Amino acid sequence: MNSTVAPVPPRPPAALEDARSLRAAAPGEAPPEVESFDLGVVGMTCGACAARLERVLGRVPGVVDARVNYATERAAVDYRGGEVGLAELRRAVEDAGFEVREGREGDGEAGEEARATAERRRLGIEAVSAAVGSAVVMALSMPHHVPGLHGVPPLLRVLGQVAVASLVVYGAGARFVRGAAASVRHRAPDMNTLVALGTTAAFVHGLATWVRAGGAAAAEARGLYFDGAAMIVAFLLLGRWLEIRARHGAARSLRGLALLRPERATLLRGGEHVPVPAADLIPGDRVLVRPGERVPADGLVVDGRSAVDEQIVTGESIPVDKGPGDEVTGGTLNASGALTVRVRRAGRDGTLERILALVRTAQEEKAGIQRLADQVSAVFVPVVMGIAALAFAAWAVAGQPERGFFSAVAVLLVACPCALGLATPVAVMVGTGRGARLGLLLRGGESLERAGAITDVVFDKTGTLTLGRPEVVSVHPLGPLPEGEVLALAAAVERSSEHPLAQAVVRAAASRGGIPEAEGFRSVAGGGVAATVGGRAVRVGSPRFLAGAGIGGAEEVTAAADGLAGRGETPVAIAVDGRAVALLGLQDRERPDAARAVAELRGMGLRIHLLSGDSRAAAQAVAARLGIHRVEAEVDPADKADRVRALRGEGRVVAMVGDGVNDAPALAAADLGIALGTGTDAARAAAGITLVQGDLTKVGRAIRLAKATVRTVRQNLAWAFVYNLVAIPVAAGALVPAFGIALDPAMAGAAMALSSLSVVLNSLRLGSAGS
Amino acid sequence: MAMGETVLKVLGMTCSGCEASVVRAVSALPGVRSVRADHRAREVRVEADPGVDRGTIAARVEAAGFQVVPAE
Repeated sequence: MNSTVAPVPPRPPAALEDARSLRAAAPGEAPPEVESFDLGVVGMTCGACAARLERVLGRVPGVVDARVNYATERAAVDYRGGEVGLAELRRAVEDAGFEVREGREGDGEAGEEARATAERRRLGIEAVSAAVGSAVVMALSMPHHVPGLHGVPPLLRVLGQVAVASLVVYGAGARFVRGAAASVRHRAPDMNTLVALGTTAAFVHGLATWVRAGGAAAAEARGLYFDGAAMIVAFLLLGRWLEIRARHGAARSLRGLALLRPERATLLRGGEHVPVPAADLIPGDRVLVRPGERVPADGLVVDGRSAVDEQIVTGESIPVDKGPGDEVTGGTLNASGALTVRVRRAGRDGTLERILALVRTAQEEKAGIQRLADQVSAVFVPVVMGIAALAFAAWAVAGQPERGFFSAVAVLLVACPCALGLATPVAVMVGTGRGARLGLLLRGGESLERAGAITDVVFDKTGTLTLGRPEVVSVHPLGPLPEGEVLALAAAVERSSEHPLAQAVVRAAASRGGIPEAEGFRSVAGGGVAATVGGRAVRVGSPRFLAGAGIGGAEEVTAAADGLAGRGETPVAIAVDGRAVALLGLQDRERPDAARAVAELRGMGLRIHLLSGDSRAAAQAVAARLGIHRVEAEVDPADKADRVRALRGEGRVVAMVGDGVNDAPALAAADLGIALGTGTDAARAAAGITLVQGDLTKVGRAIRLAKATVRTVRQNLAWAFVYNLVAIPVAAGALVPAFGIALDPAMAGAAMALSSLSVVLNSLRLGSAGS
Repeated sequence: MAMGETVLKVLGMTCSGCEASVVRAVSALPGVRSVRADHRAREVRVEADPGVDRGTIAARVEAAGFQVVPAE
């Protein structure tokens, strides 16, 4: 077996008989190319389904790796071409109980995006045509209220209703009928079953009434209620359309996450530079990372020196100097020089992949609301069907089979889960619209589910509470040179450097006056720069670098530097003509609105935490200025999510606010994740709410809006539930014996429509929430 | 008895979708008459012709990615 492929599980006899796999495994032959394949998978209903499919695909001989995503309904399979083909993969998916989506496979993320857009557009067209069709049927059913229709012969009007209503119910609404057929095959009735039954019942009722009345003209007065069947379909399609728009937004940002992965690598093989996909690297490979490129995999630097921007992983914005023996992380940006790196962890084992996996897992933990809906419909649907059957049987036994039939139809119609189906999407849509006007992007109902009960808000530090870039906050002269001159000299030397610390010094000096010209600039390995300014030799760098360079006053510099570090400031030392003259203290300053935002949240009765990957001193300094008492520092990305989970384990309901890739797992693990729009794609993908302008004072507003949205969803669901509780028995004819009150199918349908309307109206109140 | 009922303890079903997967997978076996899966009871009940043995059904369930708890 060649060393460039992962170990294969033992192969069952069936696969050994496959001629292709024997050929591919033959010794001495070139190793088969690892190919990738994207499959659309239909039928996954929870995170566990995705995990299971991943296992089943991984067991197929010849498959190197399989990743299944529940949100995007996609399986990405890496396999050795020639050993296994599309047919085998398709069979494995079907063995696991799912279906492969037919159509364009293997066209990757762009194809998936196109498919999602096409599906959304199709649903939109179906919803709109169903609505228009319903209006036409309704107009035809009440010719006295529509000018011009009175002249149309009654028979034509009835036939028109039948034709248009059947187009709506079985054309635009074909997905419900297909879903119902599938649910019958699986012997698991769901909402589709109820919709198909209800609309068909309304349809049959209309035909039956018409036939019984024996003629077109007589039937019209009685209400055939074909428009009811059409309206149900229109309402439900509208609900699904709104829902899919929210869900596809989420899926798109998850796909965006994958774009953070480094794509290509330059493999060093016997003195040659071979471009390869980063995914093909294995431990032990040596790769060249040029300036401006991303490090393709985790590894050790074996040659070269450079500053590496690790913000993507650590969240800290200051590039870290790397030389031989230092570790580098895949996905980080090589800022200055060329590096040769020996790969230690690649592909799935890499740090970045593990962070992405953490995000996915945390999101799947939250599929709770879907399970609840499953459980509700698993009980609700059979109960409704039972009541309909019972109503028919009871009336039949009582000698009124006709009333029995109409009662059963009325039950199915009145229970049609329109209000239930609209409860969440409409509230979320109105909440989302309101959010957009406030500069908040809300994503889907699931991500907001627990927002109503938030007790704790956890803030990331760098880039969230702070600006994410250092500023000069203190100047400490160690000799006779005044502050202004020290800064000007340092800035003159630093002006040629791209380093954020250097740029901070330049900004500070520029704000105080001019910066003199420097000549003979050179960068010194080990953390410093040197140049000549007005005939004086100026060096700027870390105190350690200056002390190591044999500068006079080194002990004094080191002691002062320790003092600065203890206050959370990063010290930069300046020497002129071989003598230390000053220390600068640099710090990542708080955003101007941070203190106000924290105070507002505390005023809402919330506990505030600070979680940072930075040093204890730096985290404490920021926390103290903002009045935050709960501080945890030096926390790595995986631990951040664990801290959030630990809080939740104590019974707290946690909102997490962050901006970096390193915050993404914690954002996904929190009850409500809030990302800064100025932050990374990963953070936005993992969060339920994005603050578009990165304005921290909107955190309080976001929490209030999320709470209002969730409250509205609950009210809607409660209303839909109470409505069913009352309307179903009435429809079944329970009040007939005592009060003579019956609900004929037409009234049942109207009640259903009113119920849906009340859900919509209640949701519209959200339009002014959160201000 | 022309038919026998086999009851399997199955781990890994978390929702009605998972149940549907098991039902679909096992129903594909020749000789199987009916399959009922219950994720809360972690149970799969299969009615099948006598020729279909427990091992065949268990293998099918495992192939679909679930775990069958061996009968004691």
